[in-house]
Amino acid sequence: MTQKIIQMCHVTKAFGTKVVLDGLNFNLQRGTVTGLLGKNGAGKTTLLKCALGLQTPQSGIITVFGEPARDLSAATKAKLAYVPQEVTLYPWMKIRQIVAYSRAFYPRWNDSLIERLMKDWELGVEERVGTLSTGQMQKLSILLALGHEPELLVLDEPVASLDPSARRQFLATLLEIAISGDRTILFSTHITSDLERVADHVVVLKSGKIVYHDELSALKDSVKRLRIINARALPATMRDLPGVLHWESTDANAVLSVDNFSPELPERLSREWQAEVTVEDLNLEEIFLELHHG
Amino acid sequence: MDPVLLFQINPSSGLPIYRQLMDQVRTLIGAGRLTEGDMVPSVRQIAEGLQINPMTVSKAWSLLERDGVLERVRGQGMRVLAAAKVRGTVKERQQTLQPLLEQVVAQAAQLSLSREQVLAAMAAALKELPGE
Amino acid sequence: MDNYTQVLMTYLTRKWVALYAGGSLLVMLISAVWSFIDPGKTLISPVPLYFVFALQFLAMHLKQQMALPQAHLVPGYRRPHLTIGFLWLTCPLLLVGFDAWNRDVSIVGAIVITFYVWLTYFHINVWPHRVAIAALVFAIAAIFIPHLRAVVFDIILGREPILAWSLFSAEAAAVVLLFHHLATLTEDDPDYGKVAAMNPWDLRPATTRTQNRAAMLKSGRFTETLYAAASRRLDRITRVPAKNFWQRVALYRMSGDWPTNWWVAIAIIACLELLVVKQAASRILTEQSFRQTAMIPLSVSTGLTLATWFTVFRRWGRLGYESLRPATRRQWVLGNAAAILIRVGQIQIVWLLLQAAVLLIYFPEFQLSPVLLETFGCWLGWQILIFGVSAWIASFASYALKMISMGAMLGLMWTGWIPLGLLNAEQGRTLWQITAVATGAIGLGMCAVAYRRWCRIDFA
Repeated sequence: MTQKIIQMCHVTKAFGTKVVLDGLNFNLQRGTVTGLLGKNGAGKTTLLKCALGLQTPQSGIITVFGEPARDLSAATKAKLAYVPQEVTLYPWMKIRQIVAYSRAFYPRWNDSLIERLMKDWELGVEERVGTLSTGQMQKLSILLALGHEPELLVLDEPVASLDPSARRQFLATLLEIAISGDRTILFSTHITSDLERVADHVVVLKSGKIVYHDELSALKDSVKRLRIINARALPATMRDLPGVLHWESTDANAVLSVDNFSPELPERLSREWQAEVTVEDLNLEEIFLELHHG
Repeated sequence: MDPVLLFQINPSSGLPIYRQLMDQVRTLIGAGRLTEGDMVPSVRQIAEGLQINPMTVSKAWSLLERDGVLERVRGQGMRVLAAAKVRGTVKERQQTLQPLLEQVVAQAAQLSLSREQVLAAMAAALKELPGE
Repeated sequence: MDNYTQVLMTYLTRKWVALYAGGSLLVMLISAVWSFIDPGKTLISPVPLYFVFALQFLAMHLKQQMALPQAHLVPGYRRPHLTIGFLWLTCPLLLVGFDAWNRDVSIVGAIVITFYVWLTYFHINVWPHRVAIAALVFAIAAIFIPHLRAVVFDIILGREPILAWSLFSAEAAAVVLLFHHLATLTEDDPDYGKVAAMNPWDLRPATTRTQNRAAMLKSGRFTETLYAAASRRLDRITRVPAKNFWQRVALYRMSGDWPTNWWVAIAIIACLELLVVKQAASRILTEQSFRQTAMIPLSVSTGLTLATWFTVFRRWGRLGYESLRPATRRQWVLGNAAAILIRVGQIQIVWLLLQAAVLLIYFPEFQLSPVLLETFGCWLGWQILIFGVSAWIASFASYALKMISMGAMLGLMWTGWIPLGLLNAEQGRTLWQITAVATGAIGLGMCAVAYRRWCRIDFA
């Protein structure tokens, strides 16, 4: 069984003169729930679209389930699902009809799951798709993606239009999928709290490259903020220190964030700079800000 | 045991979820709410109950097993190991406390408490520990 | 003055619009100069009509710029936009006037009639209102009702000065009203967000379309009957999973924004057929005039096919999503091509049957003549060409490009009229034969080009 569900090698994608993905490398492991973080315009949507073969990079190789992304077989497409950021579905169909329509394309479909979700998410079967609000439309597109129980689920900003309770329901469903095993989920978002709850891996996209791709817990373990007080040997500049993301200092005090934290670091710095060192844990939002400083 | 009643997880904290779980398991054992031989809830139960990713629970459980706090029982799940079998020398276990102690010292300095006042407060808190 | 250049720059960001507008203005200029040299026999030049398509986009652009929050928050925003809008709406009329002067017809008359057409398009795009639609219907009626047509010619010839000047005042008043409406657009106005989709990243049109559809769909009983047959069909074909190519084609056929209602489609085709019948009833035809008369049903046929493709163009935003359903890219492209071909084919068959009926009734002598065969050959070649070109055009993202090419293809068809007036029967036959083969061959070539392009393109 392939362990790397999606493989992207040296992928460069530009639109005109604007380079969006710059020699990017990315591997998605089977069974993970991976959150893709990046500023607006960092290229998250482009990455996802290239990964699924909807857009072609100028250079690089992309495979999904071992097949080239540009030319996926029907069998592979039956194993994946994509929820785009915005999609206007057939407005004249009723919800039960659009579900039946999607179902007709797939060899396998879980009717009871769809029924349950429609009830939980309050989508009326006889409502016409054209009359739905943005949030309901988003719920519908997610629902249509879950029916054939895909092994790979790719979502682009899936909760952007959902109210907090709808978001919770959706995250609960995602977790259900994660718990039921052997399903891989990749979603882009800028709501870090959702990612913290649901994802086990984080990918940070910055300037067309992936600057971090590892377990979320490892990220939280290695990016920390240190407060230096009453230092007697504070260096003039901390720019050259390995792992420093951002720093500010006055004569004897400083605040710096590092991405290579280890338990002996505070003790070592305390000795080197003859100072009191306290460590601050950073949550994902703060880590994101530190990674994008300057 | 209902996971929601046992654990309190904050996904948006700076502390990774697996660490929160590990700390809380140790605290529960220390406070006597979990004793030797108790079965801890399964990975699935915790993930479903607390609405968190099962992989993080798995990681916590594996690390606790490595540290000798929990043991795996075939076909049933994870079980609390006897407190006495907790691995690591005294020095190592003191190291684990170190970060918290540093926080206490820093906070005390901010509150302008003297050494004696801090130790007195510590003594009062220690009275809560089982076995004192 | 800096503001004005900035505003002009916004027009240039719409490449295709600017190109087409510039192009049609150039054509108008050339035509006006030509009529100075050689006035020709017609009362009014048909060339300004080509400007209408450009006008449509210019109007959409103007409205879109005025419907932004900047319009009433940024000082000095509105005036440059409105001034430039006013200029491109009215200045080309000078060319029309010049052209009319060369042809020795009433300048006011020609201006008034041309401006009527322009203003109606402008009105509809800037402020969709019953008045505008009524004006458009009136304009179409004026083409077909001989009495109204005579009045129009009288105005152009200068025989009805009072009517011409009243029309002029009405148009001037309308311009003032429209520009005032544009100047005072605010979010409270129901038309505020209703701007046409000019680029894939403007989300407001999508929201507006959704709201419009919602409003339309909520009208209950009418929509139920309209969609009933399609609904039943959908329920039938989705009962079992699609296992082969043709079952998928059946599903692709239902993937438009609105399904076809056959009664409505046939009713529309029948109404259009009345045009043909009108022509047929009063004529005795020679071989050559048969060809000329045949241009009318051929235009109708072209229009119907283009209208069908229009519904395909609208699906652009969804195509990436649809292409990820279980089918290879090739199967998906061919499947959709088949679905569109079936839809076009069905409509054309209805049209063909009606033509056969008209022929049998009015021109039985032409039933088995070679002229008929050549006409049929031309029609077939032309349909293949449209199919190929439309399939190719559909693979580009720009909505403006799609609209303009549709207009261009219609225009190309009309220009086919011109040679017919100049040729005799023998030359006409040759031309028809060459056209049939050439269009068919180019069409097939375009189909191949389109297929290869579809297998490679990026989706939105």
